[in-house]
Amino acid sequence: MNPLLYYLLMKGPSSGGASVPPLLDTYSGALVAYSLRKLSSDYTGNAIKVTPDGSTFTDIGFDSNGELDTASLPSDDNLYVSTWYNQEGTAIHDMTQTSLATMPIIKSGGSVVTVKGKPSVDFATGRSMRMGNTTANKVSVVNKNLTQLLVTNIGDAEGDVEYFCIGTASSKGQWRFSNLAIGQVLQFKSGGQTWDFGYGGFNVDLMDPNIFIVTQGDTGGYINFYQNAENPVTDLVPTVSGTSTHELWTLTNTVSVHTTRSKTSEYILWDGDYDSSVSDINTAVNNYYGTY
Amino acid sequence: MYYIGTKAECQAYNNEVTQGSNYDMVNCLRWADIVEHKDGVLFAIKAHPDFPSELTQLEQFTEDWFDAE
Repeated sequence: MNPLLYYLLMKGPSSGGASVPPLLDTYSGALVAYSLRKLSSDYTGNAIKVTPDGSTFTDIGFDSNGELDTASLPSDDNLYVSTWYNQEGTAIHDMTQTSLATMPIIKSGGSVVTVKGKPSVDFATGRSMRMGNTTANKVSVVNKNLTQLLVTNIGDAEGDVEYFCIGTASSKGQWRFSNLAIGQVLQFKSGGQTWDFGYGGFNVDLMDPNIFIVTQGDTGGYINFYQNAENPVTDLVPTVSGTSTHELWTLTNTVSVHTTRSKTSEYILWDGDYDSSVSDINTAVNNYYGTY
Repeated sequence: MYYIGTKAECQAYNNEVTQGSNYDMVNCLRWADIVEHKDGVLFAIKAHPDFPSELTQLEQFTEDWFDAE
């Protein structure tokens, strides 16, 4: 047999795991990083801690391809995530939940929750995670050179409202996706400023799995918004101006009466503006998740 | 489904479920978070299927529970 063909057959398909450098090896400077795949060669911890009942807990790490080690998940039909570890390594920034009924879901009815074949965390209505029970654990950033990456699959029923990446006050940090009668819109807040996407006819398609990236420069309050590397909205001017730090404390939340159905696979906050690398980041992330 | 009642009644239900569930009290401290009505008088807690209660049942929240955004 041709030696090259033999090598390729033995190597198997590229999964975006071991054969590709983890994302944070290439794009350093993350303040927090949550994922169900390994994001950094330097990270030696687990991905998540799970429980079926609040009594027994199991840490789940990564397999040899850097993917969630689903083979190590307990055999229970339903498993809930009590900790989503911060792969940047600062333990107080782990996302946690200590109320069983509020823990997000990783396994339901005997099946691992997935989006396009990759494990994902189900934040159905009423389920949320945050950095411990004290706001002191929050991430607070004075610098406005930031990049945020969010890989998520949001519900599409009219009236759904989904909140992500919230500070101790929503004005300091929040992604708010709404499926309204006028269409699907995103309101983005950071450091006391607010930007609105969608009200001018731009339609943030919430229906499919998405890779969202927002980059912020530090001059003029402009941000750039990318959805699956398509429909970029650049140099968007804030609708509300203000000055404060950017914060992250809560990963997702259900607020008021709204139904939520989001499944989230990855969130990274970088202390740096990676706008010039957005296309490469999108490609690298999409090569793994097959989002679009 | 949720049960609604006073804060004390919801806390008592939460304690009943928590104490009857053998939580590890490190990673899991309680059954559920109590939700407060905007009037500050009424409270709700998610119902546990194994712990029925005589509290009033609420299938899902209505808009009057929360302040307008």
